Amino acid sequence: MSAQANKTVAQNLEKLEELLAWFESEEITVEESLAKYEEALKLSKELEDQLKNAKNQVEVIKKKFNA
Amino acid sequence: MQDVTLGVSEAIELINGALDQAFPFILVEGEVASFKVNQGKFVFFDVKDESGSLNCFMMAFSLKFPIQDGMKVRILAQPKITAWGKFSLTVREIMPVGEGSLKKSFELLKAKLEKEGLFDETRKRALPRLPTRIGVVSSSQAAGYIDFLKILENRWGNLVVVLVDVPVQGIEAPAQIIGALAHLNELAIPVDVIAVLRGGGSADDLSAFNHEDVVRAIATSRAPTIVGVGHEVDVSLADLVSDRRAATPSNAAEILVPDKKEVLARAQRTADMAFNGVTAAIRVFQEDTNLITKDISKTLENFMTLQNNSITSFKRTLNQLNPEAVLKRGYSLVKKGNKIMASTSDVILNDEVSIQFKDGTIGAKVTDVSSSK
Repeated sequence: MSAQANKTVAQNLEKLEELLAWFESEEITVEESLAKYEEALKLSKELEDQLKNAKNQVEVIKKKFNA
Repeated sequence: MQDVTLGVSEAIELINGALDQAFPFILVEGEVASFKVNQGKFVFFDVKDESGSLNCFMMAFSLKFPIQDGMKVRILAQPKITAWGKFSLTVREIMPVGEGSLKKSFELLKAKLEKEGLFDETRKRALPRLPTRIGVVSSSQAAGYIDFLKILENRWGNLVVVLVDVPVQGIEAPAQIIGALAHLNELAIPVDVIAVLRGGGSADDLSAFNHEDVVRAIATSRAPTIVGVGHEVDVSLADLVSDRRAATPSNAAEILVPDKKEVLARAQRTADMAFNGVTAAIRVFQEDTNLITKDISKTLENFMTLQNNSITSFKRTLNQLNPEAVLKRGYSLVKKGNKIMASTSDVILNDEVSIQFKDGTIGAKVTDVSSSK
């Protein structure tokens, strides 16, 4: 489940980067920018929720390997 | 036992059996002398100290560190008597020990692998931007591994760390590290990256990371690799062959995942930038609208002026056509009743007509009609 969570985080990060690039571009229209602004807000809020209390999980494999 | 008579081969077998039971393997440290490789397959040398010397034999393919006469080595070996009655150690593992020997061996192997192109930049693969499953080859007891986990936890979350817990020093370490790498590369749910980690230690402690097979196993790992071994100053061949070299295990954690604080700050900046973008877009829109409004009124104004001009000239034309204006210039208008007389054919003798001047009208009678043609 946590693996899935990180995929969503990665996707959200990627979307945020795209938005950033879009806002850095030259042709911005009001309607589009409003929609994208809302998206950026939503994404950054989501990221915060996803990252704030996320824990890592450790699996230990104990095994002796033959040479 | 003394009552039983043995054949020579049986005696050798008996002695070897006893040796095997007593010393399945012994670890011996000494200096190498008379090192030679026969037919590229069989390696013979002696290990000796100030007062003793032992014959050693090994297969060339088991030789994972370059060895030269004078090097101090540690060997893992099985004591045996050969069919010719010669006592010999069959060597399974050999590794240089002591700074001088390790350095010498390191340089020799480095040169060899470099020539093969194993350290070429072009071989290096990019690590995943954000890994989900991180395979780790290290010892659960190693301080470096514990630091790695702590930093990983501080920087990021939702990660699955799969540790293959193996010794990272000692003569057993190379085989275990190689096995761990293979195991991680064959997991049903693959890992995104493999971190090979070990904290600081002496040159001897770190020697497994200069073992030829370990280096090759890292080179051929299916998952991209990051190697963080020792302190910043330590360079191992494992470092050089890895896709990414980390100075320490902690540094490996820093390379593998971003710091969530930075990422969140960046997300916030993006949101801020988006807000500024919206504001700017609205401002541009307003300016555009203003410009358009201005354009429209200007056009309208031009149009009106044009219209006005036309009207004025039209008026002037009309004025010129106004009969009164003609009268003003001295002409007069002849009417019969209400009809304007425009030709001599419109009147006959004795017709009564009125003649209109600019300032009034007089009555008149036609007394003569003569056409000009």
